[in-house]
Amino acid sequence: MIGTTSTKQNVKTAKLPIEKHIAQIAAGDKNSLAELYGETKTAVYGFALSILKNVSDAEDVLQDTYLKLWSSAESYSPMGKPMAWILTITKNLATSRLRERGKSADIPEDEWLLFQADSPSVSSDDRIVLSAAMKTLTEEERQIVMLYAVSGLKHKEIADLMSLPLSTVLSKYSRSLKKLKNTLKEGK
Amino acid sequence: MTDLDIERKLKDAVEASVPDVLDNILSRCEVRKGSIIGMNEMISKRKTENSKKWIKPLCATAAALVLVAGGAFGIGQYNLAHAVDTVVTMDVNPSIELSANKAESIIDAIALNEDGKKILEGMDLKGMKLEDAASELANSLVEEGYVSELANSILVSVINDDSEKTEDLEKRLTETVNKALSENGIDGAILGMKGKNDETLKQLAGELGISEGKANLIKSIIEKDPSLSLEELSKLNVNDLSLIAKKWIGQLEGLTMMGTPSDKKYIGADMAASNAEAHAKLSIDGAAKVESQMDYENGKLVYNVKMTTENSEFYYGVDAETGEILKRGVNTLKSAVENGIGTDNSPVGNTPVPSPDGQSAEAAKAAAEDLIKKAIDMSGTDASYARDVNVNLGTNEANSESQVNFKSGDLEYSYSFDSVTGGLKNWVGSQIQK
Repeated sequence: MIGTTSTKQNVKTAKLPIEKHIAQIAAGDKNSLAELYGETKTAVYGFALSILKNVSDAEDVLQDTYLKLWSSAESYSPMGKPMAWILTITKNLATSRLRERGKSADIPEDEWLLFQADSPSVSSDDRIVLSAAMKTLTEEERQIVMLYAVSGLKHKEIADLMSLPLSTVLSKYSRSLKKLKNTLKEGK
Repeated sequence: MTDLDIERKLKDAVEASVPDVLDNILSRCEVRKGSIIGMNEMISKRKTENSKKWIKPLCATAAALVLVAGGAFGIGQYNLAHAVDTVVTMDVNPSIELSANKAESIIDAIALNEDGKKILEGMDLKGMKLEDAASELANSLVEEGYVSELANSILVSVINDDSEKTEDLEKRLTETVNKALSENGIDGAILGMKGKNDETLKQLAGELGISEGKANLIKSIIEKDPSLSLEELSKLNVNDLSLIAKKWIGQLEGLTMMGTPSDKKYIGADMAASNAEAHAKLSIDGAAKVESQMDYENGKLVYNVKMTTENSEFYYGVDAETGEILKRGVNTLKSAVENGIGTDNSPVGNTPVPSPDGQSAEAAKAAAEDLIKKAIDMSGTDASYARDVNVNLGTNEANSESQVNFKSGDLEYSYSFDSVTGGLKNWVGSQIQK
């Protein structure tokens, strides 16, 4: 039977009719694109940043993701996983960008400092955690943590998106958080 | 710091640092809607913008180089017969690259993969005209079993900076290859791809271990469906790529298709539609419209079947090799939702979905449980097997929806209900990825 407690915990208000937005974008509705951007930009940018580890490239991929959505929304089959579809586009664009760069996704230290100086809206505590995630975690770990914590995907959805077994995602996620905790503890 | 603290801080940090690029996106949408824009074009556009300050010194350097080069040409006589003017690639799974001079005589023929080596073994194409070589290669591809009635597609790609010449040569070569296949008793599908010299594409093709022509075809497909990846598609043979691209022919820049790619290796679009119809318990004759097209999803070729009836659109994903139903869903048409009618095979009745707004936690919990029961009943599964159950209750605003997600057996389900009328808007049942 369905447990009352778990049901209660999982009740929340729906706010993202993403498939409807995609259908309207396919019909040429720019307002829908703007709304979808507002609702999903953090998930897209966070994921792009976790792959590219470079704020400038992540910004480009953020733009290109929505431009791709605009030009190819009609190819989307409404099968109930629109966010995974959008993030797959982000992943492909970011991978292409990495290939274009022809080098590993390392961000120079000075660029991080510049990013931090340019982002006064990020509180110092939050900035420390983001910085630790970027510096401490491996590429795969970063992506898993960002997809879960920032993009709001479930572990199973992350496993599908990254073509990894669910058990791997779960163990990597757990290990990543331990690593982050240790790094943050050492930093204090 | 707890796990939850870290997650929250990460989210807050990213949320606060997302750059606002909406205006830029919207201004570029005007240009991009309806036209094919490549990743390289996006990148090169940016590169152009970023590198404007270098243009003047670069022009001066280029001019100096032209003078030096001009002098060199004046001193020596360039042997046109050995200068590469056109590159033609032929792909099936074997990939072969032919380099030809202005007179269309072959200077070099190289295999780009192991299968290509088998085809070129014992063949001497040097000095041969391009059309004759293309015909020879087509014959060999049939003899070696790479092209047959089961997989009848050949990609012929012509790369030359002269658009007119490229167009003319591509037409002649595709006709030549088609004729060669006909003479071998094969009803072929010849894809013609036109392109210009492009260092980025050349580099990409090299990295993926495929020909420039195939890389160009894959890029065109990804322009139409950006959820596909270069790496995945590069592993497919040309016949499978042709089956995926078929629905977009006429919309893919630089690509033509002569004939129809064979899907005889697979169950076929009609059988896929029939499987979907049997599963939906619908009569296709009774459906207003049935569409079946080949797509590539999760590493598999899949027939996506859409059946439209009076009130609903049914979607099925059918494994192209086995005929297994991989996913299914239904979308209730707007008019039916507004009238509180369910889908054609799942009547719902028009009990409005209770909203959490203004309700006590107990009332919201009861509403959620009712909705879960409704969804599980509609799925025809046993409630005792339902796991990972989630419910999102919509608000009272028009057009909002309430959603129930759960897993049962090897399927995961998602049901969406109109919050006002209670009508089922859509549902999806898809196989859980192992």
